[in-house]
Amino acid sequence: MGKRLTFAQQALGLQSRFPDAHIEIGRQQLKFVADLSPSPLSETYSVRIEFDGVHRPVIKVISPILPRPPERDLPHTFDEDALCLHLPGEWRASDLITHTIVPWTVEWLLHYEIWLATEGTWCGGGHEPCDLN
Amino acid sequence: MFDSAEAQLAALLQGTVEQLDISPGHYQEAVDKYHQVAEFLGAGDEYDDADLLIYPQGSFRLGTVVLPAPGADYDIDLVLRVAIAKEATTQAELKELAGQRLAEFVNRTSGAPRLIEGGRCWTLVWPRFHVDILPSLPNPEDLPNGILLTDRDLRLWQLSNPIGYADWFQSRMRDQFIQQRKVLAADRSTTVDDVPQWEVKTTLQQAVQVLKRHRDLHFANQLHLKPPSILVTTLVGLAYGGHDDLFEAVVHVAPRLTQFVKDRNGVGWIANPVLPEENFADKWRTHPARRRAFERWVSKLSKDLEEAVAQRGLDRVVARLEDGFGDGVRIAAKDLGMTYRTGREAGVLASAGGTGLLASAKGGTKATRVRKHNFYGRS
Repeated sequence: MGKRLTFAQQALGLQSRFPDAHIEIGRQQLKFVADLSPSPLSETYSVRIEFDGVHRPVIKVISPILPRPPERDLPHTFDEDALCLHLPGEWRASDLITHTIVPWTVEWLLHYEIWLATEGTWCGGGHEPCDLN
Repeated sequence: MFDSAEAQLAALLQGTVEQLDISPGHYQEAVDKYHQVAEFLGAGDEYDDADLLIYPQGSFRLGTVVLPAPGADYDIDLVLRVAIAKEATTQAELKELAGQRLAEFVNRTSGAPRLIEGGRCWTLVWPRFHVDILPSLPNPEDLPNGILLTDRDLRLWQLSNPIGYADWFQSRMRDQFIQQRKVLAADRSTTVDDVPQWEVKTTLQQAVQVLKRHRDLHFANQLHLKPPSILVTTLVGLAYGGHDDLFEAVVHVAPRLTQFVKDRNGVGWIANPVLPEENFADKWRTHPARRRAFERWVSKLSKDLEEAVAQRGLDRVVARLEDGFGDGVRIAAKDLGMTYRTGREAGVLASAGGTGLLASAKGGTKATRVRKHNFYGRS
């Protein structure tokens, strides 16, 4: 297992790939807000990633408000619609967020749009019971 | 993967019409069926110097088949050319002769099809396949491929040249056809001649399929106004700008369709490219509502395409396309999603800096390869 990265290292990685992003380093938290768009026909989403240095980063889409069919939860999310991008153990604090969490977020956004378009087919794979319909 | 909005739109349209195309297995089945008929009748194919020839015409020959819905029956059009001089027979005799021989075929064939008489052709009906057989004579003034057809009233001989027409259509896509056949041959480590022509699908063929699909839905409740496939195919062939990308091809073609409707002494005219005296828009003269319906359809098509490309969000794009091209677009959208997923699983999906845009991984860019992972949590 690699060494846990510092907030500064994470921020540098994010800054170099996302120069327009808003990045804040606090004592207890790294915060990253950026406009992301997964594909040429896709919507642009404002996404916030918060990381306390130890636990899995918390990822939320701030805007637009994500539409969903009535009475349905968004696919692959935790409570309060935080995105659930990986199995426990697939991400460690020694991984650069810019090379893992961010691309996975973008992928989630793409598959979310297809899920909406197809009325509920998740094509992104992942853990049961979220597999392909 | 998909570097542009056009490439994504092309994938959605292509995926939609592929669901309505004839599958390779069914294609072979259709060929086997008409070979069976030809063999029974002792007919040769178009390359033979025989008194009796059977060969396909129309969308089956052109590679532009579009079923009205997945799983619908296939309509296959065949020409039965009988080498008799027109002075030596009448249309009624010719049709009767063909009918007798086909009835013998049906009586002596196991798993026999049904034989149904139409206005000017005979139809062999197998499960899934309706094979129309159109009796004809060689046209001595347009050899080797010109033919004379019986008309609906069995009076005047009608000129036709389905092989000449198919050669014209082929000429509109020749470069891409040759190129794609080479690529297929290379993929299969075989020679170009070993790649059957019908396995090549060019952008022009797909563009015709896209327009026919849109037409079929647009005219679903007003069939009497629907422009015939030969008219649509001809206009697309004339307007095609040589684009490789399907969406670009269709966007180029749609607003230009009406430019190729000519005026001859006040009559709307879409000439058969190989028989200029034949007007595919002939019916417009007596049914002007059909012309107006055609023009409304072309406007609707252009609008559907323009508005689809202006949407943001794949869900909105798909919903907008569904309006013109039906719910097959949703199945095509699943395939699009699966392309991204298999790309990631194969380690060839990358996410760019800036906005994170997903695309094929290429060496030397700032993009980062998307590492394998599994989405988790509730669905």
